[in-house]
Amino acid sequence: MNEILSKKQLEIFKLLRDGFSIQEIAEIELSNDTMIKSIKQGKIAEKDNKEELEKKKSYIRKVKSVIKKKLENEFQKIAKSLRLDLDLSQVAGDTGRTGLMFGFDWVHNTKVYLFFTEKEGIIVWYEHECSPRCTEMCEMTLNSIIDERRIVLPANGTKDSNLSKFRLLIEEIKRKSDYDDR
Amino acid sequence: MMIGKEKVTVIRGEGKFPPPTEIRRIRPSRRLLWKFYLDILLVWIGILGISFIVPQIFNYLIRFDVNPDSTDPLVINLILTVIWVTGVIGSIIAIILLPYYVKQMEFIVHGDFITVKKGIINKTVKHVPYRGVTNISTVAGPLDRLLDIGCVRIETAARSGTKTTPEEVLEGLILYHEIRDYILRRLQAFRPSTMENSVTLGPEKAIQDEILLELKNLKEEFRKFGGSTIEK
Repeated sequence: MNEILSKKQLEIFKLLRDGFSIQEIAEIELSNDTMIKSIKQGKIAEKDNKEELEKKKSYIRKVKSVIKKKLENEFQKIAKSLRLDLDLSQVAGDTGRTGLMFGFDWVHNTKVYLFFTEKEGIIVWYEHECSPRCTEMCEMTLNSIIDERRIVLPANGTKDSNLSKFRLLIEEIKRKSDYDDR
Repeated sequence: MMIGKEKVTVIRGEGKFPPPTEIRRIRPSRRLLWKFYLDILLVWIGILGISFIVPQIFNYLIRFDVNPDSTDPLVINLILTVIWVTGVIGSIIAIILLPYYVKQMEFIVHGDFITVKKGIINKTVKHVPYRGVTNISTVAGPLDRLLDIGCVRIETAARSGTKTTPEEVLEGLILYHEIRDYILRRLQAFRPSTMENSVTLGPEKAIQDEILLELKNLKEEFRKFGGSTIEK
């Protein structure tokens, strides 16, 4: 069970992360509600009107901003403990949608990425060229992120090193979250 | 590892870290703004203190007054009014402008120099090359420590000899120790260390020894042919 987000928030976050727009999520939620109502009442519920959809949309927006706030707070705590420079001016898209944030480690002079994952909690990934000892572990983590986010990397990128694979993953996440949420 | 509520997995690897290709932009923390506001508050405490102490001193002096014009209460009141009016106007201007001042501040770390952007009315852009840096220090005053920030002071060869103020101050940094260490590492890349210098002295010393030997030989030659005349 995830500690940062509640069950409902996690559900919405997963839809946002998978590239659904707020309109689409509101429609899914509304159809779920209608289905539950009809099962409870034993008859088909009336079709929801536009007003209810708008209400649902504003609810999703609100949940999304709560998710964003919670994730950013958690990321900031981690950044503080690991002495990372969290680059708020260069946020990797909308944190509430991507669950990703950029940072920088002045000691190792390298970029750091903070991922929110459902299964593994938060992953702090220092951009590095893998040594033979860490390749396997890095690859496993990378694949778990790719699987969880249902990202398909370009065919030529899958055989590359972990570092270039990772860079492709970031690009893909950015592209997927490039949404206008109005 | 656990930080806060969530399980955290840190993957740092054991291999090399590829150097970042883009330049680093550092903006001061918002806490710097609070530091400036606290400074203003301290100035006001000072003004209030002066307003309280000065009349007390005046009342004490008036007892020994020979020339009543010199301790005219009007003069004292006028001075205090000027201090208060200046303080109020200054504080209002500072409170309005400080957020913009902090927002405008930017430190850009390039490969071989640092650019510091500051100012609202007079916008200054200074380039401090690593090559010219003579001294780096970190400063965290009581207010800085209270707000968990600090500043990195950079002194250059041109400035350090003549003035006491540093060439540039990177203010309001949370990771000021890390940034100082980073700049120091960059400096090392530009300058050979003292150890390397001593190594380069090796061949020079051999040459000097050779010259000395040659001179000794010449002296011997002189002695052979007319040493007594030279000694005279």
